Amino acid sequence: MRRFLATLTLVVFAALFYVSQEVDAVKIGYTIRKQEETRTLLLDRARALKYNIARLKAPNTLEKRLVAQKINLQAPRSWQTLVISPTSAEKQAVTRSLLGQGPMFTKFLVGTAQAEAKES
Amino acid sequence: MTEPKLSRTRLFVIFFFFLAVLFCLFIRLGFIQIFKASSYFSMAQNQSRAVIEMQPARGRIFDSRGREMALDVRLDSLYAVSKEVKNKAQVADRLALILGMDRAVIFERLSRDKLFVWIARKISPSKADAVRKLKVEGLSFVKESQRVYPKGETACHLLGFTDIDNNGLEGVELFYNSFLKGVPGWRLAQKDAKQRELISKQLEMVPPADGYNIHLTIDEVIQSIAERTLAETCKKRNALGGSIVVMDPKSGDILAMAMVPLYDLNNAKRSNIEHRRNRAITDLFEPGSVFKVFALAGILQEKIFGLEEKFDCERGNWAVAGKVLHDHHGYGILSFREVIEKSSNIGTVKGAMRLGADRLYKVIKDFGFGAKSGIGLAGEINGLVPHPKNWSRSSIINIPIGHGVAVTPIQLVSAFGAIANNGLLMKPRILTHIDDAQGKIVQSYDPEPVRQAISKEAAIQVRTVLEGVVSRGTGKKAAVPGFRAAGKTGTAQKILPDGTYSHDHFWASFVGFVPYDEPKLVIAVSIDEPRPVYYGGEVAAPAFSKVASEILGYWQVSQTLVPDAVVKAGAKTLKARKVTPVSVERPVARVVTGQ
Repeated sequence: MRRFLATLTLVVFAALFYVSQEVDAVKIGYTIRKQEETRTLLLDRARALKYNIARLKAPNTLEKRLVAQKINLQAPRSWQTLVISPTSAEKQAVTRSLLGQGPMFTKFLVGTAQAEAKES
Repeated sequence: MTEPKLSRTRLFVIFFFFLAVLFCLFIRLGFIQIFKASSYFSMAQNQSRAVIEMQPARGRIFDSRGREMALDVRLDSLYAVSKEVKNKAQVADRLALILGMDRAVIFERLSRDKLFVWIARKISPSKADAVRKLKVEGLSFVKESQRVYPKGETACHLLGFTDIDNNGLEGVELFYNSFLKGVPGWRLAQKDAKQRELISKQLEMVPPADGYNIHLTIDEVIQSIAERTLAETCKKRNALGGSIVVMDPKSGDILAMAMVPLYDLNNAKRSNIEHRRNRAITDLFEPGSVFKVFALAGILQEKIFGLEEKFDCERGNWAVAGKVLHDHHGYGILSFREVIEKSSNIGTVKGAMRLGADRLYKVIKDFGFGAKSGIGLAGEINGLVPHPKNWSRSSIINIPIGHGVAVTPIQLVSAFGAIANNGLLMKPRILTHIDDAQGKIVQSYDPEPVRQAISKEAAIQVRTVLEGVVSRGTGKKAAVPGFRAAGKTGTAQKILPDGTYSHDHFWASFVGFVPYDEPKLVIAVSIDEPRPVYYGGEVAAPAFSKVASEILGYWQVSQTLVPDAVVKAGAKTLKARKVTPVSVERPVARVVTGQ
């Protein structure tokens, strides 16, 4: 009798375990389906965005916008750009202006950018 | 109180009653199990199983630089289970407002006694959201693919479009539909009581095979340049329409195929059917003076005479074969080079007569006229080049100057491409390859030489003459700043329905290539019925110049010539600033980037 009861209990538990696994599988199936739907939705949105980007980047669209805003742009050609070599005086002037420095005597009166940086 | 005693007889009656009931049930069950099993089994399966069709994504179309020209987006399609829709009149009112449809049509659809009826397909997301907010029982959505064209009108005649079921109807979409469409898949799924799919009980599945992607030789920027220039030219010259075809002579790649009028691919159904025609492959026209180049090519190929051979151009009037041939200007003695540069009909015909009908016919055929170019687009036509057996007495006068023959723009551009490519005729190519979603090449279309139309030496000689047409002759307005260009103008009278030549309706054309030394572009411009100015040199040549100039700028091709104005301006600036130039001279044309 005991053996019978033990076997019965085991069978019942095994059956319950099987059923719970089945239920879990179904639940996970629902979750997967939901996730898939979300993924599809996001992919759809990505496609729509790609379309919008391609549309906005289309030369026709850009030209229409520029015309509407009365902006007349034209790309410079290679012959429209002349590379010139500046004189040494011009070079120094350009370097000074880029570094934000004046002539030597102003350094003495005003101080250098480095000195200002140290003070702060 | 005494308990009622059931008699043995009554007990038997009750027992046998239940036994009989059980027996009946057993018989019934047996009947169901044995005889009705299959029908109930199929009913159960119908309720719990469903075959779900899985639509493939239609392949995308890219330009030569990988920019998307056509792709799919998924939109909602609205359907109704009409039996479940209550208050149909009210629902129809609301849907008509949201969808912008006729209320009567919606009401009629809702009133159909069907389980499934389409209300509106592929509606915008905003409209779909508005319908969802109504929360009407019996209305549902299903996702469907919608073909969209982000560039709108760009390359519309080439790309074509699809119908509501995503089948190609025109252009590349039609011709390569079998590659683009893909194969639908399906899955057999188990459903629960709420009709939700049980993914864990998926029974069988055949996945869909997405369509292949198509890679065109077209460059979106070049296409836009050609379309814009063509539209401006047609508007300025009051023309009915026209076409510009741009080709790479070395590979035969079609870089642009522009037609006017344009139509919006995203609203293709609303466009005029006439506007959808791809004129570059379907429109026949008599090429006029552009065709003189092929008489010249034949003469040089057969070494009939040299370019400096002199011809009397009869001061512009020459009676021959029972008709009088005219020149636009009256010329005296001209070399054959000058004959072509100045586009003299009389000189050309005299030269062609020495070449002879058979040899002229051969060279015309060798350049690909009178046969399909094999570009791989639906609707291409052969053109018309009559065999010398069928020539009339005046054919030797008409054909060398581009009358009595009919060509398409694609044939013209290919033939000039052969001249630019040292005599080697290339098959025009519109596709580079077809690949799948993973980038694996399914089919490759390599550049394909057709034949050596003329010798390299003859082609080089023809090119020198064509350069003269632009620098000294009728095509001066085709000059491209900073480059040496070559080409030929053409003005042809159109044929009226009664078979006579019109004196008011013309085709203006210019076909040429640039840079002259190392041609990178062949451009054919054809304008249909420009008014009041109709000469190819006045109407089509400036369009050639503009398109060529912008494309070379886009490709950053260094110029062979520095325009005088720039040299002067540069020298003035340098003098004023007392600086020395690093480099003003330019090397021979070369591509710096791109292409």
